[in-house]
Amino acid sequence: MIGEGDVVTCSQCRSRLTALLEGDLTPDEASPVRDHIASCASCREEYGLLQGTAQAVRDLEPLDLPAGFQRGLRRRLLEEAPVPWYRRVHWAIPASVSSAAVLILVLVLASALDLFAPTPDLMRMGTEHAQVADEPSPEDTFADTLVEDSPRLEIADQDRAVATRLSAVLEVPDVQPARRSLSRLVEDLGGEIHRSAEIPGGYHHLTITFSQNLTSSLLNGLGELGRLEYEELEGHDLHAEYREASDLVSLLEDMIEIERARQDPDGARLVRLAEEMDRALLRQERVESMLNQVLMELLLVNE
Amino acid sequence: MSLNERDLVLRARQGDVAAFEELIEDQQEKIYNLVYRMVGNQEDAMDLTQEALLKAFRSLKSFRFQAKFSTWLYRIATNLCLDEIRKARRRPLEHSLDQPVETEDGAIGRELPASWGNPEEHYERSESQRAVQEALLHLPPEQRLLLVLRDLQDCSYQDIADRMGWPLGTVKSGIYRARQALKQVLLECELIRPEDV
Repeated sequence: MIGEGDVVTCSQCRSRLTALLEGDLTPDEASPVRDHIASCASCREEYGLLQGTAQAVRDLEPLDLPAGFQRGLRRRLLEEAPVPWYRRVHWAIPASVSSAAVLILVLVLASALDLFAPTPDLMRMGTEHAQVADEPSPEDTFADTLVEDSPRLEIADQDRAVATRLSAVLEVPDVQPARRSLSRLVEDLGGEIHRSAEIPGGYHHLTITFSQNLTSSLLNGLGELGRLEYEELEGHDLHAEYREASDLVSLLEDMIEIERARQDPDGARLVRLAEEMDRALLRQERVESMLNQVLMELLLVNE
Repeated sequence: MSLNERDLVLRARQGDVAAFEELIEDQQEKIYNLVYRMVGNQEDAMDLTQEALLKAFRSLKSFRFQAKFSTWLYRIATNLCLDEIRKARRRPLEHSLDQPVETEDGAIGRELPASWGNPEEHYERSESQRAVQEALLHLPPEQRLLLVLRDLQDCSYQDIADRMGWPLGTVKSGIYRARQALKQVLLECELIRPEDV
């Protein structure tokens, strides 16, 4: 170790020239090297050559992206872009309705995202159906609906079992008859009105659950009752969960195929992979189930 | 990682090309410059840069938000670049440095910098730039990469270590050896001279 006041040899100096150039020496370490350079022509020349070498690279001028780079890149990116999840799970808002859309908000609730964390208390494998709370809340009923779709799952915290929320405003000629028509419509479609509250100003706030497969029918029905306004916002974290779950299943399929080909007599690794696959499939099924359910909040207002 | 960057990554993962373009907006020119200095010609640099960005787009699902997006992107680009250079060593060179490049805007010489001074200065600068670029191409690709990152892109040792996935000590010793090697080439080509220092 060399420090301030030490005298360095040419060899010691040379081995530190790059560090000096890089500013990688402490002041105490740099001082004797600088002193040596000042008094030794040969080391001074070597240091100058290294400085010149670094400078030659630094002097290379920056280049602009070539003409057509962006256009070519975009074309190739568009060719690569995967099909969005909502196309793959047949998200069913009819184009005729969405083109007139103004105000539907599709919100992926933060609490719903918690469900996707593969924590043992949240999901566990089993054959029994969900345990229903003693006094089920409206959300519990919704959770039950989800569980019926995937009976191997148990939802530990049913208050959080809301996958997707859709908010809409329906302008109708008269709220009360529309309210009755709406009840019949939801019932016919197998949906359920969980909450109904009259809000000052003559508005009615309704919370409805229905399955994704019924979404388009319900929206069509609502469109016949009055003027429906909505727009769709995507919940991107949910998309990522769907993709990750699917990717994991694909990966495990490949790994199991490889493991089978190895014909390991012990087979312990294959068993572990099969268990992993069970969990992955369960998670994928769970995410799909969440995506296939919608909680709708509807505000009925007079025209 | 900023919230915005995280959101853009999540959107791009779903195939949102506009979100991906926003993510790479500040990086693509730097990466192009890095790749250009590694391969020494516009055509290969453009192809490789686009290929690296496409690879990043395809691999977004493996990005775990544990590093900065730019660090991750650089690692993909540099690894791809090193792989391609190694492959190219095993096959005849497709482009020589003095061969003009056909582009949509007509034939152009290689290694054109972004801006030029007056014609005389332009000539001197362009000759000097060309010579230093060619000297770089004499180095092993890893050494070339280290010098471009350190001297041209002003990355710290730690940045380089993160971007390359190499230990810090390897980066330091690599830069030392790379600069010694380039110094020898520049001396032989008389691009630096002892009497000038």
